[in-house]
Amino acid sequence: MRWEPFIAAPLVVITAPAWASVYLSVEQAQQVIFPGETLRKLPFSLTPAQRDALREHTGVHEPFNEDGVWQVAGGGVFIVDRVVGKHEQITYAVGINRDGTVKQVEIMEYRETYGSEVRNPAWRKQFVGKSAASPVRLNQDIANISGATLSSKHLTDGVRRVLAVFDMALKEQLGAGR
Amino acid sequence: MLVVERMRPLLGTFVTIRAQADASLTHEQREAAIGKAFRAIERVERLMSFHRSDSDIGRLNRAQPGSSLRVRRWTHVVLREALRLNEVSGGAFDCNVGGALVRAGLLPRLRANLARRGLPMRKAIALASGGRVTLKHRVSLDLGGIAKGFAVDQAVRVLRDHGVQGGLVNAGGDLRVFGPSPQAVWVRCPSAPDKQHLIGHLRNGAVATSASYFMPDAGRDGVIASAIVHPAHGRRLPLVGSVSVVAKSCMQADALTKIAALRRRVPTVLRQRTQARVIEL
Repeated sequence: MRWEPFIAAPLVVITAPAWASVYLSVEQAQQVIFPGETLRKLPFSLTPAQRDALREHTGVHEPFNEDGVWQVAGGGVFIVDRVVGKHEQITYAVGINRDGTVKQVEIMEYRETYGSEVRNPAWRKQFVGKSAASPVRLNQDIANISGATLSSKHLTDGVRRVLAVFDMALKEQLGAGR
Repeated sequence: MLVVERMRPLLGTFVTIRAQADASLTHEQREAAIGKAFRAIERVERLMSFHRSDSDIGRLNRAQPGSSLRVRRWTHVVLREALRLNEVSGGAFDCNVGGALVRAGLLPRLRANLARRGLPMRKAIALASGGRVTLKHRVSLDLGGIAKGFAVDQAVRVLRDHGVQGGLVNAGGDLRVFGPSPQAVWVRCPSAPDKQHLIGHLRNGAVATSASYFMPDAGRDGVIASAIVHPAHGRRLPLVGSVSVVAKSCMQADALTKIAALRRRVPTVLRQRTQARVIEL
């Protein structure tokens, strides 16, 4: 181990957003979770009753991303959804096995937010048009941040909702199509 | 040098892995290395989670005094280090504080009749050969103060074993960097966690931080405090600033933040063994 403390004054401080990063595009996430598989976009929509039931059962208030469902040729589903937590906005992908179990969860975009930035249009605008090829980065060290543990509870709730969507609406649709 | 970064939700937080490798690794090999590193972290979660009754820790917490349980090698390693730290820190580091964390609403109540103050872990359990743990008293072990760091160390080992030359594993703020070049390390400002201080450059080492700014607004006990329990009286430590520890391994850094926060210093013998530095913000 070699440690060189930074002792110059004033301390270098970078400001909000604490952390914003694009990890995977939709295509990359598909290949990471289902390598070598062919995926087909699935036209999908929930009924109003299903939307109400989801909100009640999972406690997630943002609408489910109905435009982010793909069927995997070899069996299974790939879903892209979004959650907004107290401190974070996350776009994530969930791979679901044929039997309805989670194969893998990958975070595609992660942005830390502290309330004020989200309401600020200039702050939001900086992300428009960004993709995995042009990652949102304050600097290359953005992952090297130590601090208190940030809970991933919101994301866990989001994944639970994705599974509920699968159970409630997708399982049947896929079963019927087979 | 190609750099790939991935993030997954694990250990109740967000885990980032960055892998730098030259052309000697193919794209598939690099992805496989990252996948295996994440699986090592998942394994630590499976073995040592307080929440799962079928984990090694869950089984120990349900076991009757006098029983002897076999645990997996990784759990044995972490318990051995936890016991050693419990001893050397004069009891400041103690994993038998699950009861206090349950009472504060920070851990789920999985059984009734939890003692507010557990016995010091070195008096409650003993390690035996063959991967066995002997219980002298009922326990409520929570490895939250050490297992995350261990998981980071295991992920780094897997990446290196698979030819990844440099990078980082960061489990929600407990991080370890590896590879030939020094990397900048930032610590969140306790008063404004959206800002970060550059604290230095680190090569082949770890940093962990304890602070209260992401805690739920108040625990069930009505206190805004850290998740660090004072073993002497079973209450949580109010922590206004943040305490970071730089050390050789992430397991050491993770555990030493608790000792540094409670004692305001790291005992000399530990500091020498781990090359620990304490940074308070």
